[in-house]
Amino acid sequence: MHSPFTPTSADGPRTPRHAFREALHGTRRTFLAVNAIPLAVSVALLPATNLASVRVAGHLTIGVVWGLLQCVLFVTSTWWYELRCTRACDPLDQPVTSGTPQPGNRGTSGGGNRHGW
Amino acid sequence: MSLAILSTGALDSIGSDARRPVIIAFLLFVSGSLLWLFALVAAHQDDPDRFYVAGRRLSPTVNGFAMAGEQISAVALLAIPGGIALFGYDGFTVAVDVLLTMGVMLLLAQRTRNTGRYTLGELFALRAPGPGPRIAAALVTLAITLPVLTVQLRAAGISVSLLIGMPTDSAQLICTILIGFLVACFAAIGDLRGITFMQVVKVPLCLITLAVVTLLALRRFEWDPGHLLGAAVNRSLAPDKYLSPGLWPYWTSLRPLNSVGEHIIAILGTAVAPHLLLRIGASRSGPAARRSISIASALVGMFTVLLIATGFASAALLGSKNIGAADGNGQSSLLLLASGVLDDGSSARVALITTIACVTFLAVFTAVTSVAFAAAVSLTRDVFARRLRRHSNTAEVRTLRLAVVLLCTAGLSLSVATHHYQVEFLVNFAINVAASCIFPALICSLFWQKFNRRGLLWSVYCGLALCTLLTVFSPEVSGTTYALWPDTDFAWYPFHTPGLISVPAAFLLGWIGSVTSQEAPPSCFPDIEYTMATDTGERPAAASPHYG
Repeated sequence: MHSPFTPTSADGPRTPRHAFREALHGTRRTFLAVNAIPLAVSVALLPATNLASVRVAGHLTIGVVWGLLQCVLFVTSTWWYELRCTRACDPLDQPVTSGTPQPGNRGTSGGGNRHGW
Repeated sequence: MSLAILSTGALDSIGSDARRPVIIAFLLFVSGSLLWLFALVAAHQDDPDRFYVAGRRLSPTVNGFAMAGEQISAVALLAIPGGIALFGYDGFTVAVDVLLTMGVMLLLAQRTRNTGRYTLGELFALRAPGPGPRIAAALVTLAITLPVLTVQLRAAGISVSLLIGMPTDSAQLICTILIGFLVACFAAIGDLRGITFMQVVKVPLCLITLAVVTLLALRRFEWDPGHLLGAAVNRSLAPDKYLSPGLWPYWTSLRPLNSVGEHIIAILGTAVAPHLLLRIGASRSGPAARRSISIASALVGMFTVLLIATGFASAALLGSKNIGAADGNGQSSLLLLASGVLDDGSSARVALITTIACVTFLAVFTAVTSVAFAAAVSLTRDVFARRLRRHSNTAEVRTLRLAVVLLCTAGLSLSVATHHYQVEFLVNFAINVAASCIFPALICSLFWQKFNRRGLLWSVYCGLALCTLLTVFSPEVSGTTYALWPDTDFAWYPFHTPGLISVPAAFLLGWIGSVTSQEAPPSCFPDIEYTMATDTGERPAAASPHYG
C-alpha cells in the first residue's frame, strides 16, 4: 500500500520531514526484505522441493542450517535496524518534534521515574 | 493436604527425591504470589493510566525484558522442545517462528506507540470513530482471549498436577481451578507494573535454567554438538526423516499449503495479540517502544536457540519413543531432560528439577495473567469508559477488576467444562482471529490513506466470520483422531489454518469497503501518518485517543 506523506517534488527543497520519511521507509523496507525472503524460502520452497532434507555436514540438513541462519540473520538485522533508526531516523526526527508533548503521555508520565520504571 | 500425601505420585517422571522440593517450591510460589498481590492492593486506584500502562514509564530495557517474557509462555517453553524431540525439523521451524514474530512487532511498534493508543478499540477508532469499531474490537478481544484462557488454564492445571505427582483427572481439575483463582486474583489486584515485574524476573531465570540444562546435556556427549545431534537422529522415531519436513502428524494432506499457512499466520497473529499491543503502549515513546522490541528480540533469540538445543538434547538423551510414551505431545520433555542430565539422588538434580518447576509455574502464571489483564483493559476502556462519560477513575479501575474476574470465571468454566475434550485447536483459532481481524485492520489503519469506517468493519467482521466458519468445518474439529469430535466427520475445509483464506479475504473486504464507501477519507491523513511516524504529538481532533 502506498504511503502518502506530503508529496515531494523532484526539484523542490528537501525538508527534514522528507528526509525522515525516506530514511525510515528505506530502513524498514530493507529489514523486511532481508527477513521475508529467507522466510518465504523456508516455508514454501524448502518443503515443496525436498531440498530441506539434503545433508550438508554429518546429520545436518539444509533445512536445519537454513533455519539457524535465519535466526542469526534476524538478530543481526534487528541490531542493524535499531542502529540505523537511532543514527539516521531519530536525529532527523528531533528538529521537528523537539518541545512537543508525547502522544498518550499526560503530565509527568513521559519522563520516567528514578527507578527507571 | 500434607506433603506426604502429595508426594505419592503415580507418574514419577522426576523421581520421588525431587517430588517434595517441587511441591514446597510450588507452595512457596503460591504464597509469594499472594504476598506480592497484597502489597499491590492499594496502588494506583485513582489513575487508570498508571494502572493499565504503568503510566507509560517503563524504560526500554525493562519493557524489553517484559516483552521477551510475553513470548516465553508455558506453551513455548514446554511444547516447542517436545515438538522438536518428537517431530524434529517440523518442531524446529515452530521455534524459528517464535523469533520471527518479533520482526513484525518491530516494524509496527513505533507507529503503534506513536498513536498514543493501547487497546484494540482505540486503535480501530484511529480511522473510524464511533461505537461500531469499538464493539467490533470488544468482540475480537473476547474471541481471542476466551479460547486462550480456556486452553492455558487447562494446560496450567495439567502441568502443575504432573509436577506435584498427581496426574489424576480430579487433581488436574483442582489444580486448574487453583491456578484460575490465583490468576484472577493477581490480574484483578495487580497492575501492569506488577505483571512486568514478574515477566522481568522470569526471563533471566528461564534463560539461565535452559542454558544450564543444555550445557549439562552437552557434557554427556563430550561437549560435541555433532555427537548430540547424531544421537538425537538415531534415537528418534524415524532416523531417516528426523531432520527433514514431514513428521508433523497433524497435516495429513496438502502439506505445502498447510505449512505456508501455519507459519505465516502464526507469525502475524502472535505479533498483534492484544496483550502485546498493551505492552507497546506502556513504552515512554515510539523510539523507546522500538528499542524495547530490539532488546526483546535479542533475548527471544537466545531463548529460541536454547529451546532448539534442549529439544534435540531431549531426543538424544532420552529417545523420542520414551518421551512420547510419557506424554503424547512431548510437553514433559524438558522436565524429563532435567531429571536425566544429572545422577539420581544428587542434590544438584533436585535443585535443577525444582528450578525448572518454578520457571514453569512462573511461565504459566504470567502468560495467563497478561492475557486476562490486557483483555480486561480493552473491554473496560472500549466499552465501559465510552458508554459512561461521567465516571470516576476509581470506578473505571473497579470495573476493570470486575472484568478480570468475569473473564477468568468464564475461561475457568470453559476450561473445566471441556476438560475431557481435545480443545488445543482453540489456541490456533485465537491466533487466526488475531491474524485475520487485527493484522489487516492495523496495517490498513496505519499505512493506507483511504481506509475508512466501512472498510474497517467489513474487514474485521469478515475475518471473524470466516475464521469461525472455516475452523468449525476444518479437520481440527471433526474427522481426524486429534479433532474435537474424532468420531464424526463434517470437515469440508481441507486446511488446518483458516487464515489462509480469511487473512486475504479481510484485506480484500477492507479494500472493497473503503473504496465503495461514500465516506470521504480523512484529509488529515498525512498529518496522522507523520504523527505516527515521528511522535510529534500533533493529532487531529477527529482522531482523539480518548473520545475518537
